[in-house]
Amino acid sequence: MSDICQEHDEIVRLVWASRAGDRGAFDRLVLLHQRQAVALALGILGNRDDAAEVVQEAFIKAHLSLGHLSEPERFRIWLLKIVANEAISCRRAARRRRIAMGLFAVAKARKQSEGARESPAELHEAVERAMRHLTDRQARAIALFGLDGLPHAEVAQIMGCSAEAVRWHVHRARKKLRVLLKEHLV
Amino acid sequence: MNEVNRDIDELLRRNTERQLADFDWDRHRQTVMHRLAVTQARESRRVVAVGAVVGVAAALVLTGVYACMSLLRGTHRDAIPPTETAAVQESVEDDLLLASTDPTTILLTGSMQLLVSNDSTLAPHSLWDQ
Repeated sequence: MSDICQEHDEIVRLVWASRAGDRGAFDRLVLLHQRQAVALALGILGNRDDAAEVVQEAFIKAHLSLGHLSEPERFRIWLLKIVANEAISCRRAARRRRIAMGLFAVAKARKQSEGARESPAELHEAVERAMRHLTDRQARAIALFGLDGLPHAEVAQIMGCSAEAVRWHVHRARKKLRVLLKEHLV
Repeated sequence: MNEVNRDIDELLRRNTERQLADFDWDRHRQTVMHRLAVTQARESRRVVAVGAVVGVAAALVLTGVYACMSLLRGTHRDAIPPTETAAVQESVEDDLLLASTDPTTILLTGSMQLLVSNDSTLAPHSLWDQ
């Protein structure tokens, strides 16, 4: 408990220092939060490179808007919200690109021709493709739900809806993924 | 149902762990800080550029306003030459002189006297009757 309080106090102190222009303090904030941020973006996008790009952009936006953060103790929730929004924007842009390039049908045909073999590359491609079939809210909900140590109340705060609504989106997302990834389920 | 949910959650977790197993976190952090430095430098250059543009624009506007005012002052001075101004002034003074000797004007001039009374029985209008 005291460790959590100490970390909490450290984050508040780092946020104030970053606001004052201390680059080292922001570097430390990145160090403390980058794993959770990348895991969230990866959960929404299903692609590591896109996730890393999104998180870098989110950290820059967070730094530029630190002055607007009224409660520094809520930095983590605030940052994860920015990451989730950036990831959703990235998803939408990718969807628009796929539609424009007419690759949607090609990807679907390739998926149907694939067998049940599972290599790491195939699994992450399958997950990435399956995530595209979820709505933005479902993708956001299941990615946040999958993050370690994130209480459901915080997930609801990040998504801006009730805990029941989050559970509903997670339920719908699991149902879709169960069908789309049945070949990969042991 | 919960069993299947666990399977899905486990699959997603496994995928995340595998993809991030060889992720270079130090490099990622350095990239964030480098991109931040580049963004801040670009931002400060933009602020300087915007400041310069605003400064030049303000100087141009001030010069324009000054030029317009000078031009207007010049045309106004040209419109009534000094000799004509003196003539107009003399004419106005003559008119005033005539007005002051005009009998109608004299009749209108006079003095007014206020009567003050402590008598409370007198209504204000009765002072005029006296």
